[in-house]
Amino acid sequence: MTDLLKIEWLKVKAYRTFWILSGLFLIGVPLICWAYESILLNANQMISAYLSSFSFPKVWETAAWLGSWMSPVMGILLIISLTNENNFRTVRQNIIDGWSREQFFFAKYGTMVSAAIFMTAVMALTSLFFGLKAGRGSMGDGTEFIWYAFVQNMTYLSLAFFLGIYMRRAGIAIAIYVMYTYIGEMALMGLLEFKVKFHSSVFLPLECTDRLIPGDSGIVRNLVREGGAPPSKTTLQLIAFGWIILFGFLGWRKMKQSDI
Amino acid sequence: MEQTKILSLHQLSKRYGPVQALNGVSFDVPAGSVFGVLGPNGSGKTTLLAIVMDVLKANSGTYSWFGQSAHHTLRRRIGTLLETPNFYHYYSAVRNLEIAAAIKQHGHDDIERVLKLAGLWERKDSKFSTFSLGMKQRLAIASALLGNPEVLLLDEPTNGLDPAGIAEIRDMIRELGKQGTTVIMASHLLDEVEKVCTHVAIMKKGVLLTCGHVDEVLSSEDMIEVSAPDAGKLEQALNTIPGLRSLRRHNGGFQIVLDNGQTAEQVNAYCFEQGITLNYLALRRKSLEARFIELTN
Repeated sequence: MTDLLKIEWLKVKAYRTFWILSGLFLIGVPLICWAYESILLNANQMISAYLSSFSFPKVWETAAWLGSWMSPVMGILLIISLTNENNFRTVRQNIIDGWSREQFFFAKYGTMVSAAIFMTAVMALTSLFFGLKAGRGSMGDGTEFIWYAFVQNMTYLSLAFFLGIYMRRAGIAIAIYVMYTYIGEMALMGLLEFKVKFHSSVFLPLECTDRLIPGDSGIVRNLVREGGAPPSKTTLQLIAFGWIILFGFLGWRKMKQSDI
Repeated sequence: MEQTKILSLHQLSKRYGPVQALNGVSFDVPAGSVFGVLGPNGSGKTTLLAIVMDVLKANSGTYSWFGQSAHHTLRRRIGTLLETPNFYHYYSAVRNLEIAAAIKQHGHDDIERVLKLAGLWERKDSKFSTFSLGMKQRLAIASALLGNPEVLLLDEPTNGLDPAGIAEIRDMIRELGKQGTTVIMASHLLDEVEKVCTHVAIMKKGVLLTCGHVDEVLSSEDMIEVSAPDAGKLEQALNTIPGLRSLRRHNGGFQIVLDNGQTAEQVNAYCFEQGITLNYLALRRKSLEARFIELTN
């Protein structure tokens, strides 16, 4: 696996788009946290104190929640990296040069997991920075949100991975991805929650992890709740892993069986 | 002694929807041969080569490399140019070859040699996207040559090259063949194949028409070239000559193939009896082109 990742690194280490989008995520996560912190502090000191969004332990959740708004940036990078291989037909060349189809798949999947680790690290460091700045609470509490952030990053990236493998054109895949992550799933969630059954939207691929890390939106969610116990964190994680495995399996099957 | 087989195909078939691209193709490529896979556009040459490199999946049939079941590690012993040069557009020639070398598990020490051989050393740091079609083709050939592979598999290797480039590649293939490298080359340029190949397989619409050593494929296919001042009258006469198998116009005269046993002397006598005096009569070994046209039409 290390050898596969080294070759994947060769493919991107001098690729400008890779550095621009990764840099955008790296800067974007603390920036969005900073902006939210500024809004809370300037809007109402009481609300800010009540929420304690940037104090330990809540800051772990807040940074993961706000950071998820930047997650599609890394998803777009993954889609570009996968569709490039199709458009340049380098996926063919990699196989011709001596990779098996499984090796190609695992090189890409390994890249995706590495990206999820990078995203989680950025969110964790951002939490640490803002938490220490606030200077309240115990740093050791609430660290399970680092794991939840990783699971959330994996679901966002798995969806991108699936689209990148199945769609040849980067533009269309990115458009579908962005529309779905920012608008599509929100609309589906509303329909499922209020027209079908409350809490049925937890089975959507991104909603399951959005509920794992509700952040301050949890207050709004509680306000509109019509009753019924929400699914447990374990259930939400199981649903998330169900999607991660499904997207991974579909990608593997396509890679293994189809003409390239 | 039986020659070692580098590649063996057994009943390979491939279908794209209603189109049967390959239909039960079987043949062997002997070690050390320069093996030409010939066929008109759409005959299944590229499909065949893509299957043996595992980028396309056959519907049925099997193949083996070096006498072993197909495995990805065996492909590292083969230098391949398949259909189009496939490289990362945003990277230079050198960076692209570094990736290819890493996958083939070779060091970077051979990159300079192959780039010089392909005439691209001066442009080694230029982005692939800035290359002309010919330069892209040269880079693909350089990539195929990385690490001195035992086998070269080249699909239309002279695509996009200028006449000098075509001659260079032809000489290179001939030279590699002499050094013992097995070369498998698909082309529809018959002249190109005839000049370098020791063996040929001729395909049409996914079916293998003939296969073997060039001398075998062309054996007993001597051709007689004739011309006379009155071409019309000559054509009429030739069309009635006993044992005529094929007749076609060639450089103002005619090329004819007759059943075995017929000689140029008999043709001359026959024409004379018909009141035609030939001003040109020559016995030629049938060109691959003529044989190809005969087989594929």
